[in-house]
Amino acid sequence: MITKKLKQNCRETDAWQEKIQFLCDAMEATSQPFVAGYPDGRMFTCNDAFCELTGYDREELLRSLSWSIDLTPPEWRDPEAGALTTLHRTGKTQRYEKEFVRKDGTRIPVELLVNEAVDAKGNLLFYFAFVNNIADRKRVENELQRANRALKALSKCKEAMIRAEDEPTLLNDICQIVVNEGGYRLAWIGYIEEDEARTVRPVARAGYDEGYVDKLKIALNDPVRGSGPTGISLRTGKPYVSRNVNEDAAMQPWRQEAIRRGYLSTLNLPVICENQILGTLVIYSGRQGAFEGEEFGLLADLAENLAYGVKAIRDRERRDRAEKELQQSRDELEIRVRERTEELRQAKARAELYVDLLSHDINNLNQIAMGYLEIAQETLDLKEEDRDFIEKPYESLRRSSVLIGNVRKLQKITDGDMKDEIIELGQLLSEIANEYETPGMGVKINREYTGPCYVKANQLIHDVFSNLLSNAIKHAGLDNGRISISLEAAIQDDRPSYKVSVEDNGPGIPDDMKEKVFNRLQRGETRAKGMGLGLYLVKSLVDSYHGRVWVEDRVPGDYSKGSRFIVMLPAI
Amino acid sequence: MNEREATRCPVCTAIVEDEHDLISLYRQIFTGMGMQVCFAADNGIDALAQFNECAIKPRVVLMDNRLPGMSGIEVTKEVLRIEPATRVIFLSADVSAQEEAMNAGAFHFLLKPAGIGEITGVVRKALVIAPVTRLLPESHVQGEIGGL
Repeated sequence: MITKKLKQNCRETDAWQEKIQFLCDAMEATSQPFVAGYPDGRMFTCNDAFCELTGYDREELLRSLSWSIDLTPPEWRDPEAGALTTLHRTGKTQRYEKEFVRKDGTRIPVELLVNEAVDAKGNLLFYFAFVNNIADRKRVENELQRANRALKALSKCKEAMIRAEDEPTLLNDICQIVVNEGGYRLAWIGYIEEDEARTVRPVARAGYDEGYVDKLKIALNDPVRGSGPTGISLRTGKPYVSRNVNEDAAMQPWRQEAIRRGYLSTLNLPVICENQILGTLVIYSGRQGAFEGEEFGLLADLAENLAYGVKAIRDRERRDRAEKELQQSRDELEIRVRERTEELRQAKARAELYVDLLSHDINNLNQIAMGYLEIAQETLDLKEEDRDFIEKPYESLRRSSVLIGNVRKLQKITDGDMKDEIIELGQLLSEIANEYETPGMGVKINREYTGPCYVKANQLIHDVFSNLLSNAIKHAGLDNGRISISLEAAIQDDRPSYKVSVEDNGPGIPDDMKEKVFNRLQRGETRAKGMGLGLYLVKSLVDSYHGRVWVEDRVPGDYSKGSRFIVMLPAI
Repeated sequence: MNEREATRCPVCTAIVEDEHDLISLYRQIFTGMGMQVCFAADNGIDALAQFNECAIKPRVVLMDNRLPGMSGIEVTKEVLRIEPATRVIFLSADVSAQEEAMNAGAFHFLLKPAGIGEITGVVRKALVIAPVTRLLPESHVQGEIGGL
């Protein structure tokens, strides 16, 4: 505004040059760099602040340098010319940024506020400009821009971690993001091998490589190639920044190749997973002095995230592998179970067939033998002492058939083929007692509980009591045998039960045999005479009815006075 | 046996059994009971053929179950279809066949080995309960049994 008024005043007076001079003098006194120059590039005035900014003295500037050529780098010339054209066309002050080339060759970013001076006819006389040194602002802006790019890279990496299917994909994605989003020249990731040299094997890379990564040949145990930035970082577990590849001694083995590819700074970030250093993320920048401030912090976060992502993938893969192995072992187990079940089914079928064939054929043969023996007994006129020749084999054959019958019944119990039904014990015992009614020997049934005694059992329950009763009859003897059966209500394991006792006055069972009589004889064991499988069948059946069977002395403490077999069955 | 011979036979029986020693044994038992054995067959098909040939059908058949060709149960069904008055007494070591045999119409199921007394007892029972056949008056039958 002041300038415009001045211009108007200048037009109105012929002394405008003096006024401008006054203005220049005023500007001289300010710390704001100021310069004025003709359109052809010559400068005719500037202040000390401008000299200080450009590094030239006033004389150099005003006499021999052009503001548009010497002070302006080539890439800024056209934009500046455009701004000045606009200025002349519109008459409006132009504000734009550019760089000045200082005397020492360095560049300095500046912001110019440019105006023009015209004569009364509107002809351009010269430009004059106030200059702001914006180096600090530019540096902050660049840092912010780099931090933003690093932040964007970090954000993209997190996305990549979420969608990563496998570790190699994640590692390559991360490198790609660092280069594309972060604007770095090269990024690679290396893992430490468990070999003797502890080689750092590159596993992913992106950017301008040109064979650089393959030439690194870093190995932690190598005194030269293990002592570079990567080696230092991996050994210490801390980031290592080489902000000037040209000067960092640690970069010596790789410097030439790095510079050739435009890597001016490097950042080596250890990838640490659960306190174990897996490897390194190495980033190369084409800018010297890179990886500062927030940018560094964000890239360090990125490496941490990478470690987390790798861990997550490995955990998932481990879990998947474990699940797969579990599923596989389940499948194998299922197959084995199926095969084993089939084998067992076949073995069972074979066993059933053998038992069936054996029992059928033996009983057939026994039928022949016993039939003829009976006829022989009836038809041959045998002396009393010779009758054993017929009776003994007959009895043996009969017992063999009973044995076969018991084997078949045991097989049925094992197979669970029998159907349970409700059985009234009182009626059952009466029927069995009638079956075994022997002349001269009374089978007495004592019923202390007269109500119906229902139990759940299958038809083989008949064998429990017929075995006990036939044993009692056999051992008590026909002459003085006294057999009694008692039935009473009782409690067994806190459950209402029925207790059946079959008592005889036979020779009894010694204490050391009381449990053994119910056992199935194993191969090689001494056989208790006459036991067969009868009592084993009894115990197996009672067990299958969830009951108990045991034997005690009829007269407590004197086994020789006979036995009492007790069967306890749960009531229903 | 032809019809004329059969009419002379007061109580006619048959044996179906693949063990020849048992056939002989059963023959002796029937003979001891005073009964004629009109045929003995050692397989199911022959048994049916002979049963069909008999003009006078046997009143009692001692039947095994596991037979070559046809099972005793199958033979029984066919026999009873032809002559429902025939009493089929199973004498078998095949305990699992008992229910099916009875369902097929068997008169009784004896498990091998059975004593001779058991066998004769069941045969007598069968004859006592058996309806009078066309050719043999009840009194005649009773008389024969009583003579055993």
